[in-house]
Amino acid sequence: MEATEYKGYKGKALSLLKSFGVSVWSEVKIKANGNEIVGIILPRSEIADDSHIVVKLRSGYNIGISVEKITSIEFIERVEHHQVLQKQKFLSTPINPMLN
Amino acid sequence: MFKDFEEITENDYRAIGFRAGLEIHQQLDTRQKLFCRCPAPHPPYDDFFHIEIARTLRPALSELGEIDPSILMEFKSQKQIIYKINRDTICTYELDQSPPFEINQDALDIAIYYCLKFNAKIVDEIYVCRKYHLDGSIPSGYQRTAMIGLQGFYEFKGKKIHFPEITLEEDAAREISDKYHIREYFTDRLGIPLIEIVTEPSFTSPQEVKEFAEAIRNEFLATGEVRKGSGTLRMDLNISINGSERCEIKGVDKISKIPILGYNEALRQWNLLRLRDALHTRNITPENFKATVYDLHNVLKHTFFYPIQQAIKNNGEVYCIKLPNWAGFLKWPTQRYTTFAQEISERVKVIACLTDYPNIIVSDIIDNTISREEIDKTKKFIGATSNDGFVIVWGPPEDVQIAIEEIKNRAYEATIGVPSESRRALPEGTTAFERVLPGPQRMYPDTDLPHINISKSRVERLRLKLKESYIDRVKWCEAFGFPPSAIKRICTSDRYLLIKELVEKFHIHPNFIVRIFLEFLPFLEKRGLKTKVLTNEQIRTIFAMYSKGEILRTGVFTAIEFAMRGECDKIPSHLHPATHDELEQAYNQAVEFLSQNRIYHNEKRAEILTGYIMRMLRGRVVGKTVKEFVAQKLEKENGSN
Repeated sequence: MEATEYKGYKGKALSLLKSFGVSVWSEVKIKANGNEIVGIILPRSEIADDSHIVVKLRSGYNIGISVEKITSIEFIERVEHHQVLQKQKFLSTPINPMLN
Repeated sequence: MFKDFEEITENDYRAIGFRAGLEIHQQLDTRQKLFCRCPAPHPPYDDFFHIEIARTLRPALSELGEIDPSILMEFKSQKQIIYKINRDTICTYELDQSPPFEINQDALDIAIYYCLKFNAKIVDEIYVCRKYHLDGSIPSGYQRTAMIGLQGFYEFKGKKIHFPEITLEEDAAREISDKYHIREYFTDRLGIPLIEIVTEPSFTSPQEVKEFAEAIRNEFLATGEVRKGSGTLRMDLNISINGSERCEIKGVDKISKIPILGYNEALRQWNLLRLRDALHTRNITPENFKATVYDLHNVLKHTFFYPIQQAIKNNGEVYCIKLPNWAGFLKWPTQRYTTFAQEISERVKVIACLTDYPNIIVSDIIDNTISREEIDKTKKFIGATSNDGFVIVWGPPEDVQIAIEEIKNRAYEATIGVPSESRRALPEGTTAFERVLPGPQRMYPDTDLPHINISKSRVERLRLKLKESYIDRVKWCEAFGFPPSAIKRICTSDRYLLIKELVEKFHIHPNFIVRIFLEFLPFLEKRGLKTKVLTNEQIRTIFAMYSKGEILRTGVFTAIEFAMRGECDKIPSHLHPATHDELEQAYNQAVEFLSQNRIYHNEKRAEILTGYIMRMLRGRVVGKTVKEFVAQKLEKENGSN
């Protein structure tokens, strides 16, 4: 369970997430270095260091925030994410009928 | 009433709640592209290409499993994209046939530099993301982009303009045509690094946006890390007024166009809000909206109106969308010289790919299309009264079905107000529909590139390189008495720091600086000499000699020409000021020359002698001295005769 809730996080970053009671796919408000950043905590690469947490900003960009700069993380809500493509009917291409 | 463009004031814009934000895309001056090692060509681009390839793009899910509405819209248009490729500047990376190289570190340094310049916080760990574009402007279907700085600002006219985001991304291909289901691009500028700065909607008039864009452009030019020339700076304007949704005007390539584009967009939104209110007074609301579709094939199968005639001949379809109680609304004005019918027509053009105008006929504007008799037949067939409006559309069956949906959608949106959309800037200062406004769902982290840690030492190294701002440069120029007309060019010159050194260290007069850097060097460039070969060190040496009196002011010009020809060593021996003996010798030679030639106008003798001596002692003597010397000599000669 912990593996999916904190996917890829370890060491300092994992402790930080736990201390503020947030996990991946949580929308949060982070205070870091005097700034306020709103975004969704994303899973982190297993081979990456333990000094950053990855956040998807509202504009869609991903950034890594240094754990040392974070002073607080406020939970907003849990975000639904879909790993599988929902069935959608697309029009076939007149130019390339093989593309459906 | 909305005032004319020539009369509208800042207060008028404030009264309608005009708000604008700006996105600035500036190409960076790097030797190579952002994610491959191909050379990054400089504009102007030519239209030469070796290869053409065709692509069809399809959508992909975002990281949260969603598809962006703008991407679905583009996919609906079913375009085939043709890329024209010059193989000298394009490799398999741009064609998405090989993975990206590591990010160009020079470009990343420049982007961090600008983040620092605009007081932004540098992101600790950079993630390159894929921003999906299904319009075909990127052959892979996505643009690689990375967030570099957050929450920057720039002080402009006493207020702080905030930049929530500063990103580094690769440039897209250049569209050259878009007809039916085929769109063509030149790939010359594809992959060139560019920095994107997004401001908050802090501006209250188009004029203010223009002035701000100029200020930022000057800041870019003042640092010398960006490309200059047409198309290297492109802007998007985000505009809204009270009660409207934000619309984005894309592809503004000239700062001077911002006021007219801002005016037209404000006017369009204002008119669309009035249209909504007028629709509501006739009880056409989002809840009551009705549109009925009729097949007009039998009614118009014998028409003489050529476009419909051709559509029927090519097994196409003709449909009519009846809009009850809409009489008069389809010719509702929107921008200067455009009506609501054009809003519908643009949608049909972009999404249904019915690109030949006219692509629709609307009941309020029927001139020069179908006959009066055919209109009556149509009205009778669809049961329209004089209060109703209708739109006729024709073309290939699949396209017409999409067009019908879009016509209904656009008419429905009119009952809500101003739809949020991306619009294309047109040369005459108006805008046209481009696509629905994209959202964050089009972003996906790049799986080919690792994240990049930005070290403190790297940031500090770049912080030390920060140059003084454009505004400070202007203040410096004013303090030293540079002519006002030259200040902008001096401040944005690549050689600004050298100029400053020359003025402060060697006490060179600003007017002489202007003469050399803004007049003489461009003059040499026009004569075919490349001023870029002239190093700052060479210029510094020349001015040091001038300030010590080793060469004259006039000798500086000649010395620069020598330096550009790689003949620096000639300067001390060929340009030292002429002695009295040398002047005497030159005079004697000139007199001898004259004795061998006939002079028709003897009164011009002094002038001819002066010219001859000046040519002989070029750069080594001042004209005034020679003139006086010759005058004295001639006076003596005349006296002795």
